[in-house]
Amino acid sequence: MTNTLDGRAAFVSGGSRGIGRAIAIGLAAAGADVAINYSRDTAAAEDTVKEIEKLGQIGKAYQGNVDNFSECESMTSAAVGDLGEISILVNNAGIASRGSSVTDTDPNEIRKVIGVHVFGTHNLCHLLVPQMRGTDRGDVIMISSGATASLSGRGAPYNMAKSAQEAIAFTLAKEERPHGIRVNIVAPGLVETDMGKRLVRATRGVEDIRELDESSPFSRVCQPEDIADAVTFFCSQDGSYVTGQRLYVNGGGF
Amino acid sequence: MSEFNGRKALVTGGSRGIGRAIVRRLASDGADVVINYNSNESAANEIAAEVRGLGRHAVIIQADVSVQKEAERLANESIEALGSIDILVNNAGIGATAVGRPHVAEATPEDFERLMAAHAFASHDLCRVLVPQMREADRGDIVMISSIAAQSFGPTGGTYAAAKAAMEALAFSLAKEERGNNIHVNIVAPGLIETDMADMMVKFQGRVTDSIAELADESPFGRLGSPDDIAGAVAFLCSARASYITNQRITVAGG
Repeated sequence: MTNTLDGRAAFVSGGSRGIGRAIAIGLAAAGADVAINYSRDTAAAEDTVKEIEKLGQIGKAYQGNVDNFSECESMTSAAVGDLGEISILVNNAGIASRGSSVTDTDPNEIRKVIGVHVFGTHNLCHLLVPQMRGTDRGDVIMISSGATASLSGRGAPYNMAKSAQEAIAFTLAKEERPHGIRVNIVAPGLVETDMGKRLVRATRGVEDIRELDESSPFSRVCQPEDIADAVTFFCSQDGSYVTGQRLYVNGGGF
Repeated sequence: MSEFNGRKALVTGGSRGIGRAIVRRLASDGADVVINYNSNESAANEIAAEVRGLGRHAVIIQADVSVQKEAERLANESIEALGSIDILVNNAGIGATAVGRPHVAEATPEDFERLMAAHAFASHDLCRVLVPQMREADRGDIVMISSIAAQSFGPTGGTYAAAKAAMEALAFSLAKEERGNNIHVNIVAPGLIETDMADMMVKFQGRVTDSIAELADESPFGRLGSPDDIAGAVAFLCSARASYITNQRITVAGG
């Protein structure tokens, strides 16, 4: 019984910073080669690649927007060229919504947020799942959010996007099971990332997210590594009979 | 692996099937284990010998956890045997077919009482005795082995599903109550797993003639779930990798 990911190659969208970076490094630590996508921060992407390489794995970074199909085409074909068959896809790239009520939300904002989370996820699945069918085992992981459980006010675009992304996952899990592909969802609550920091600043006026440690589950704000560990579990031997599932990593919620 | 070095586990129904695989996995990863069994002492001795072969302490304790006094005795004797218990796996269970009348309308009040006692009351009795001392540990873990029956609510098994649903409700409540004490409470919900209990069930349902193994080809990923699949999920939930996970249910059923 071994949980190694030796010999496997992964593609992590939004892998330069935050949760995506921790996932990329976590997969590499478990033995996978890892391609990351990023949209803007080249320096951060290069740094993540360096961390992957330090672990003795191949690391590559590809710039592009996941909501743009032709950019996804270039990124995925480059990744398959550089790393070989991709048997792990982590749909992590995401953007936050602006905190408006439903009635005040600009229709364009909904299209933009859904573009990244939903069409972006579909683009990458459309491009990478067919070649995954030929591998010994495939894994698709969606990084969703506790928002799909709470569906709080002033978060409609994000709530809609994550709910639709989860719907893709639950459907894809059933469609691809005969091909040995597992599809699961990891749904974080508040995590200490740039996005999480902005969120608590905007919604609660908290300048330093660590001020929330004391009032958080288990007396600490969730770290990106907590999410990465759940992703690695799903992709490992221990998770081989698990598909179509959603795991909230939120310390039990507030 | 030494992930669970220094940790002390009680696995109810640990002599056979899923429980046995959980015992083996926790011990492989470094835990000392109390193996509870009800009737099959030789099976309990076998897995205890295996655990000792891994260099870990193993204690076998007979108890019918569906009887309150026996569950309490099991909990107290487990603490005495290992000094403390910081992992509790509520795995012991009985199937509706074992009780004999799996249809809701035919099940007798005694049948239902027996199923509720084995799954829900037993879990409560063990938690009641073990949680207070678990609060003193660096970390505590309680894992309920439930069933996909508490999600699918199919025919022939309503009383069993109700017992598992009650057990899950207990887990979700306990998770919130004990989080402040760094006790994690989670649920693993198996689908069809290759065990004696499942074999009896599928024969009763007329789905196979000789053995549950006949269902492998039509199962997810071309195989039945194995007890090791469940043990893998339990080990993950009790590990440092899951230190921010509580109040959750992982269904291990191949989708």
